[in-house]
Amino acid sequence: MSTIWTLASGTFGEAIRRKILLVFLFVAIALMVIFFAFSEFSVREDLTITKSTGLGIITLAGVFISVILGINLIPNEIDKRTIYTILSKPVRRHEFLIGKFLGGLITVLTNTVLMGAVFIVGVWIKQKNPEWAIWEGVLMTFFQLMLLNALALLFSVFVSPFVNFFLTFFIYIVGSMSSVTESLATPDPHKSPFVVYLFKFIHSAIPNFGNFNIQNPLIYPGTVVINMTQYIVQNMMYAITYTAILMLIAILIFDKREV
Amino acid sequence: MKPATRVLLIVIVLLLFVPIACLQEIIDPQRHTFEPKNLHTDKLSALPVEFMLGAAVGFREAIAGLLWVRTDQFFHQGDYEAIIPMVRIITWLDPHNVDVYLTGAWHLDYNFTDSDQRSDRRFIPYSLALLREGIENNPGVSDFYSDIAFTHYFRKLQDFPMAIYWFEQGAKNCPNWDYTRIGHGLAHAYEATGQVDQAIAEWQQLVQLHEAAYKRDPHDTPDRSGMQVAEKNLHENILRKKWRLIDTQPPVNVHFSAQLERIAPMVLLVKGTMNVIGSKNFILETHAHTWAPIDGCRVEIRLQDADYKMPANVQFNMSNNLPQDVTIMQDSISVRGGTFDRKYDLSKDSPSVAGDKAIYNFAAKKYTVTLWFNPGTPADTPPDAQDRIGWIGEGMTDDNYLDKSGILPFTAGSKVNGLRMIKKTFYLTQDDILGSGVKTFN
Repeated sequence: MSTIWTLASGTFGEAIRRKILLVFLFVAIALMVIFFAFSEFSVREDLTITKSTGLGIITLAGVFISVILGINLIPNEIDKRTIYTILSKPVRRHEFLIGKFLGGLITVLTNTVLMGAVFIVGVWIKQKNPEWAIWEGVLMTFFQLMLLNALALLFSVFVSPFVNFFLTFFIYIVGSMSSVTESLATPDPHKSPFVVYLFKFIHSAIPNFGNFNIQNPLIYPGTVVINMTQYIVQNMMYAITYTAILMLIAILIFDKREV
Repeated sequence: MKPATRVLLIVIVLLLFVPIACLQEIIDPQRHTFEPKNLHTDKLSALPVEFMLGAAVGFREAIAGLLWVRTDQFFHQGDYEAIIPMVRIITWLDPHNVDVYLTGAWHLDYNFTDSDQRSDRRFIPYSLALLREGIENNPGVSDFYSDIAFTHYFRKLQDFPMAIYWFEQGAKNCPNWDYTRIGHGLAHAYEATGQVDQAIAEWQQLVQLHEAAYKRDPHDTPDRSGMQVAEKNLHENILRKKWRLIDTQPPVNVHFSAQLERIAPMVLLVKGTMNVIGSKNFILETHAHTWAPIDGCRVEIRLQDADYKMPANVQFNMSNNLPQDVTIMQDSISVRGGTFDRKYDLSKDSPSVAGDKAIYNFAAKKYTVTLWFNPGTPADTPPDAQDRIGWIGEGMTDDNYLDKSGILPFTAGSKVNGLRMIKKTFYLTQDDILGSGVKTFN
């Protein structure tokens, strides 16, 4: 465990040295801009667009951080040949992978929390009262990014960073369109059964990043979600389980890979 | 890694997909409460790619908000046709944006008009469809119920039993229903159907509800004024119930007559008489009053294809497939000095003049022109007329055109028990309307 923690803290430290937290600074500036950008609209429109855009920017920035971190975690170590030094010590391959993943995750968490805090303070100032429910959105964003980070890490053990970038983004976009894949998987007399089963498989097997976009009930508190806490917990379980699957596959592939 | 460990890990991976599939099955229906549903590829193809991707990665509400701002610009530019697909896309992207549904439905009801500012009635089924969709996605928001009820209650449909249904649904389904818009509307709809005891009970309840809300928050100005209005209406209803029981007998003969003339192709002249007696200077507390002929009543007129029935369950779509071959014109004519008349030049909105924007196509072979006067319709009958002819015409009669069926014209069979209204229908052919020269119909 201490090996994993050492590797994780090392990865986090390296990310800080690479000034990855500067992303937070840019996002904070972008958030401050949006707090004033829509003030000419009606109050309701202004708040709707501000909250949605703010949460969207946090997600998007987090997605870029996760993907760029995730695709480089392993290839960087191989290119710089530092992996030989690490694996020659009593560090098992799965410990190395998990340590790198956790290091990336801590970096993503730090950024997400800082971006979320700036956003909440901004909304507080704008609407003159705090809206703590936004943390639920930030929490869901973090679990979405955890899943994405694991996906990027999985691909990084067997494809180049360039291919990995597009592959991860492709799956992220398909996975974000849960409504579409689900709709396409709904039986319809005009659809071929093959198409229905294909999309049913895609909807069930591809990580559904769209599950984590809960901006709508945060923007409209009147939205009836049967049990928001239960919904959030189910999504957390989904993210953790899927991350476990991706990490196990990564471990299985990395174990066989020649480095 | 040992081979046995590898096999075990592969088995674990495969087994973990079972809870993933199960969780997705559980999550999907919950996600539908705040995500677009009934998604079909035609809706997707209507969305530009950059918007579709933006919506997919978490900017759905932001994009919907910005599209709504753009829609507002279309409105101010008078580009009304462009608003319909925008409303469709926005409500699809953001099914909880209440303003878009309500404004979109109002737009369909009121903003498409002919040259004389009469609204195009072909849009009404789609307006109702949009509001029903809004209710489906936001069952607890009372604004939807009050708006759909008002569309039935006032000018557009005058289907008071359906208005009552929607007002009652609003009070039942919305924990924070609007006492003024839902409650007052319901009480007035009871009045329009002659259910005076229910109206009085509703006003009594509203006085208490407004008072309680006002006491909870003394700065609540709408509830303070709502309470004053409810108290006034309660007081008036109680007294009117008492006096109208006496004053409406024996029924007064309104001697209704109507004549329709084609004076040129697609130009119709309607004229007639209706002698309504009402009260002058009625003092409700003392019953002091004078009966005299009064102005202020309105006769409704509707020209439509003889076989047209308003479609009941249309969907609000991108294009709406507005029936281009259907002709409907509805208006109301005020009665002054016991007579009414109005000229309708429908040729200005015919295909030969208005082209694609024609409202009156006259494609059907047969038409009806119906004139009616419903004493229960608040927009057509002032209270001083009702003082004599009653809530729903119990004090009114006519030698030729009294309709006691209770069926409200051009509704899906909505009935008001005890309703006595005036109704006359002319049956015309396409040649009768399109022909030249003067022709009179009786």
